[in-house]
Amino acid sequence: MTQRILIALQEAKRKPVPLGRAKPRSPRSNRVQAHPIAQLQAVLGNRRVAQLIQAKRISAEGKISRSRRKLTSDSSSDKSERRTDHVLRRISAAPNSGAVISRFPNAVTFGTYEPGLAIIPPIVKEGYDGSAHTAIKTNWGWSSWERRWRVYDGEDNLLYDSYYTYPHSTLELSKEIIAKGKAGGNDKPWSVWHEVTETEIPFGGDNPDNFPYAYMKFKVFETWNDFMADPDAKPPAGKQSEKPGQEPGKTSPVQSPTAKNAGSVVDYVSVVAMHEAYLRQIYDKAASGITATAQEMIGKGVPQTDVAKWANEARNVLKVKIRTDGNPILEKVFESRNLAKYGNKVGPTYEQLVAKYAKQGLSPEEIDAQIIKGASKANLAVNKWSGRLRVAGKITLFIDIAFAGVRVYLAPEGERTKVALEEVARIGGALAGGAAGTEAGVAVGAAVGAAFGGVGAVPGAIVGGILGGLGGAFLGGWAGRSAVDSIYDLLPPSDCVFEGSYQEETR
Amino acid sequence: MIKGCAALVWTPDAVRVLTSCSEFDLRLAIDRRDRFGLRLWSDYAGLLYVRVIDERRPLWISADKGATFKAIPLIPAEEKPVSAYNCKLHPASGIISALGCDRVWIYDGVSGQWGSRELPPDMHVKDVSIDAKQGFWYAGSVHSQRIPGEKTEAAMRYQPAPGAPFQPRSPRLSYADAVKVIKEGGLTELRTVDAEGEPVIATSLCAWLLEDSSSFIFVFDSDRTFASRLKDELISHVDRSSNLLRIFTYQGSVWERNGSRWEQRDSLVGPIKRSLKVSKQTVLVRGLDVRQGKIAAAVEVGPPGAIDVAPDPELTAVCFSTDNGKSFELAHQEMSRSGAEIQDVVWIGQE
Repeated sequence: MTQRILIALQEAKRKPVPLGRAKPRSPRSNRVQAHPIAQLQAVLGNRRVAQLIQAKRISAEGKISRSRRKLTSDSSSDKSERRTDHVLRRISAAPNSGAVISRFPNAVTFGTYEPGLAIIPPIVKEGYDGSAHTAIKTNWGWSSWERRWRVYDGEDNLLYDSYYTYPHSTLELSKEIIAKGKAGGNDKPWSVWHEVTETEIPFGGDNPDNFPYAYMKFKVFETWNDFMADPDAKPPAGKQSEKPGQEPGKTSPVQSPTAKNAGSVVDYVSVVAMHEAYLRQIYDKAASGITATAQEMIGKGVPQTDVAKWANEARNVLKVKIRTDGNPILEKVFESRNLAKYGNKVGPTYEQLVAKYAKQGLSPEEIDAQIIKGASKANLAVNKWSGRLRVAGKITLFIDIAFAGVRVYLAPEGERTKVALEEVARIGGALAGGAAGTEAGVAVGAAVGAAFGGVGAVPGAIVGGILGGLGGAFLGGWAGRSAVDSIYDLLPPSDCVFEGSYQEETR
Repeated sequence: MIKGCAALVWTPDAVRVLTSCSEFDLRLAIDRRDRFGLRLWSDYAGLLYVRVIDERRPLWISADKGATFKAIPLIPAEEKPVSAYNCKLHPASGIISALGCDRVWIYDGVSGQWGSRELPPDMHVKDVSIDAKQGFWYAGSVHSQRIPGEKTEAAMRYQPAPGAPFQPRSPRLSYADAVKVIKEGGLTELRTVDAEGEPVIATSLCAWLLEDSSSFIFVFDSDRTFASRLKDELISHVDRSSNLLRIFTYQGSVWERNGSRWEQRDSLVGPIKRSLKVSKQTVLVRGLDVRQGKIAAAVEVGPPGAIDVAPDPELTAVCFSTDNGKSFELAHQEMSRSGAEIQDVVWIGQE
């Protein structure tokens, strides 16, 4: 700690105390007359307001301009705009405060532990939303697996002290942390300290001097008036930029969680539809093969009745195979239908077919011919629906993939990779989750339905399968996105800005 | 049995004809699986005809309203015996026909002789009907590639006199009807034809009958053909006895022609169930005959929801209605445990 104070003192000596600092207002007056920017901050958040200031799209009265040109134009006649322009030009002209200082035990560790913390933008306590954060660089050494974060206010009060275990790399500056300390403005910056406390050989070892740490200063203002009055106040260099025509702070409907979740369900249903349509095609082809074989048998003199029996049996076996490969819900639907119609899950026996149609005036020859022909007879209506399902499935899947592309396009500059991975994971998760959910839903639904009597098993399985499938797709999509989110959480946030160079000091 | 009505009963060792005043047993052991092929007809002159599934003597005739029957002469031998299922009576003319491989055999009750006509060479004939001018209508199919996935399409031929050229009378459907019927699988082959009156009516089955037990009606008007689908129903009887043209199905529905369309009017099932005092059981019509407002139906009563399983029925019965099917009365019934089953029923004569 002594070392930390010494470093801070040395830095303070190098840097002149800024002029023009405004007197802090009393908390009471702040509450009564909230600064317009504070009001905006309550709506848009700390970071967003800071970004708008940087983009010169916010006036001192807190008005957001749609036209960037207008604000930067020299011909601006509006008083408030001129004032804003003045403030912003002053801000942009402010020298780099050089707040980042990093320190290393020796040069040997330099290649292993790459120092540097993401710059923390100025924080205004008035209405602070807890969005500020910092992070270590992504290519930190794998051997530094435990680290400690500390936050001090301008008067050296320890506000936060916590250990993080590999691989967490981000420190969120919560409202609670900021509320604990006393704002120091430009004069008394706060500091965040990062120290590697546990490493592996050869990095670190037993010598505590070999454990590197870095710290960074950041400024905390009590009110927005303080912030605006400070000539050295420097908005953060945010990376995030809005797409043309996109309202600041607003997201497109396609980016909403509802749209994403609905997309996940649609994806699963689309794939099921396409899969069933393809199975129907396979069934038709295989059934044609049965009929062709049956015709050969007749050509070789096998009695028509025997051929019809064989064809019916082969057709039932084929049906079972196709249904097993298909969606479990539809399998249950067909099984239920057959149980109700024929008393078995597979389909009618030869004897049942003969009795059924003989009673309705068909001769045995006609029935045998129908069975042989029917083994391959394509139901045009079913095939048409099958084709429609296939096309509809492709279209809906394509639409959702297109929406995924739109989401990637609309994503902030630094987050496109993340959003793209999220979308891939969401679609993959939806398909996997839907399939798993259907299987589980069918099993659970059948069990629950059976508990209410044997006949309840099939409808229970169907209802359970539908709920499981949709729920599984929903959760699978969500889990896919969350998994990518979690992985990305291990990395610094996309809007972190790292210093390009670091100052190495010796103790 | 009620007066003027005859019923056909199958037993394992005999075929029995019941009328109001007689009971005649044909001592023929018809195989159980062939019992549904038994048929009873009555012609314009009041003669009764029984078709049994027997290659040697498939047709029996009674001139005394069912008191006695005698077998008609054997069908002249062909390479392959004519199936009994291909024998039928043409009630308006009293002619019996038997469809062979390449010719149709015709039995004239007056001469007591079999004659024959050649079948149209380009088509596969499934049924033949004789119109009032003694012209022959042949229904069936011809080879065709016009229907997707099919090798045949429905066809009809007309021969006005023996040896005359066959005239094509195949269905002339509107474009919309053709598309619809092809899509629904009804234009692959004509299965029956009825030319006993005007207009000529033909029927077909859905090409994928095992998946869709629907049938189709084709009405041959002078300039075009109208087609309709009876969803999930197979046609049992065409009735021309009243001013209306009506279709009865094995499922008990009654369809009436209204312009170019057929409309389902009533179902006989409810009134029949009430006459039999059953409610949940299924009722299937096995045979049916209509004389204007009088309907006689041979029905089977099976376990609930078991039509597709086709188990043995609980009972079979003859029910009749004199008010056009609004109500029925039980005329005769056979419990299945007795081993006998009623297969068909007719009104004797035209009145």
